[in-house]
This record gives sequence, structure tokens and C-alpha cells, in this order.
Amino acid sequence: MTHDFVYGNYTQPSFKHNTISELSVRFVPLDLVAHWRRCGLTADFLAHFVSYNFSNREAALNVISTVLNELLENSVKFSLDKARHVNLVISHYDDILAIETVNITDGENAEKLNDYVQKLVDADADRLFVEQIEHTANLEREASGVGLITLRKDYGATIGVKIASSDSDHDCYEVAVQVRLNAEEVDRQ
Amino acid sequence: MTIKTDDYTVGYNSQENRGTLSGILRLASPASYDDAFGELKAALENNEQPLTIDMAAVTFMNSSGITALSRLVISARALNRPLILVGNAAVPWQKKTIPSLKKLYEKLEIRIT
Repeated sequence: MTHDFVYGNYTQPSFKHNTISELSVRFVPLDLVAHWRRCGLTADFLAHFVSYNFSNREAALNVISTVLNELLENSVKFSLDKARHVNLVISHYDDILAIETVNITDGENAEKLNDYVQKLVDADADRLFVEQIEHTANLEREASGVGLITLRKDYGATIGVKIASSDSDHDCYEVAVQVRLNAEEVDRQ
Repeated sequence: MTIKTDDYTVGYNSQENRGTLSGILRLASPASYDDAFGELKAALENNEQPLTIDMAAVTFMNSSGITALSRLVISARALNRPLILVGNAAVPWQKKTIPSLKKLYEKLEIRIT
């Protein structure tokens, strides 16, 4: 891969005057690999914080923590150098709950993500879920890759991805994954 | 036999052929669920009666868990065994995700209440 790719609903982050809540976390994947439970702890903490913006807090907490945990786990698993920081931001503005993770990965993972996201953005999510499960079970492949598919299928998430080559590091790519949820839908669970 | 960790519990009642999962299931990979689901898989292989897996008390499950559960459903399909998944409609992830497993196996019964 020699140039940047943008898929789906990715938009460059910018300051929003109508921000209700925003919280960002910078972490080292090694910390989460050492104690995997930290993924859930981080997701729960951020979700608890934001859930105060919703009338049905318990349901909002479950939805938001589930989505956050998925993105956290992905960013850790697909980080090339587990000692290199990952950034995560959750923002609630207008009727949008937006979560973005940014991590560094290698060319091989960037290519795989490139192929995966092209399918994810366009295909029927229900059908894609079944295909991924069946295909990876047949190949006895460890991971099924259904995380982002599930967010689209079950949470109405819109997904945007940007894969940018790093000028300074050979075979390093910065991957930004953006997930947006409709805040009214989160409150209607 | 019961598996109990800080985060989750898995129990199996052989008389009822019923497994019960509770707590938080967010393990690192589908293979990490081999221990948790091992007795349930054995029950599918060794018992022709319908197996019920009650997940109503599972507050969170990640995609690795959903994958492991899906592969259990595929095992039931391969063995032509009846399988029942029980969930709680008040827990959003259960209400949203468990029903879609029906697409993997037509004899899978989903009870979300």
C-alpha cells in the first residue's frame, strides 16, 4: 500500500461547538495484553461517564460499553508495536455518539483491513455476519472478524476507516476507525 | 461441574441437559472460550436430548465470545442436535445479537424473554 485510503463515513476529526461530552484515552496496548480485563474496565469506565447523558442509563451503558470494548480490543490486537500508544476518543454531540481509535499497524494488517472494510461498508451486514462465521469456522481460522460487522448489524453503527501510510516509518500505517451511533437510538434501547 | 472465575460462571446440569452462563464474557480470543464452553460442547456430542444454554445473566459478551458461541451452534448443526439459547430482552446485547444466530442453524430455538 503506497497511499492513503478512506472508507465509509470517515470524517477528519474537528472541534464541535455543540459537544455535550468528550473523553479521550491514550494507552499502551501492552498494558491491556498483560491484563485483558483492562479492555472491559476501560470500556465500562468510559461508558459509565457518557451514560449520564441518557435517560435509560443502564441500557445506554450496556450498548456503549459493548461498542467501546470491541474497538478497544481491535486496536490492541492489530497494533504492530504493542508498546506504541493507541488513542481513543468518545464524543457526544448533537444526536451523535462518535468513537474513534487510532493505532499503528503493519502493511500486512493494513492490506487485510483494506479488503475487509471494502466488504463491510457495502455489503448486507446480516449476510456478511453469517459468511464470516461460516468461512472462518471452515478454515479453522482463530478470529472470525465479526466485531465491526456486529456493530453495524446490531447497533446501527456507521463506520469510517482511514488507513494512512507513515512518512517516517517504513511499512507502518496509521489506522483510524470511526464508529458513530445515533444517540436517540441508544436512549431507546 | 461449575467453572467460576472473577468475571463469569459456567454451570451444567446433566439431568436437565442445561448449561447456565452468567457474568462478563470478554475473553481475548475464541480459543479462550474452549474451557468455558468445553462441557457444553461435550454435552452436545454425548447427549441426544435438547441442550439448553441459558445466557440471561450474561451482562456482556465480546465478539470472540459470539464467535465461540456461533461455532457451538455450528457443532449442533453438524451433529443434528436440538439446541435452545435462552436470553434476556432487557440486556441490549442479548436482544440484538443472539437472534441472528438462528441464521446459522434452522433447528436452533431462541427464547428471548
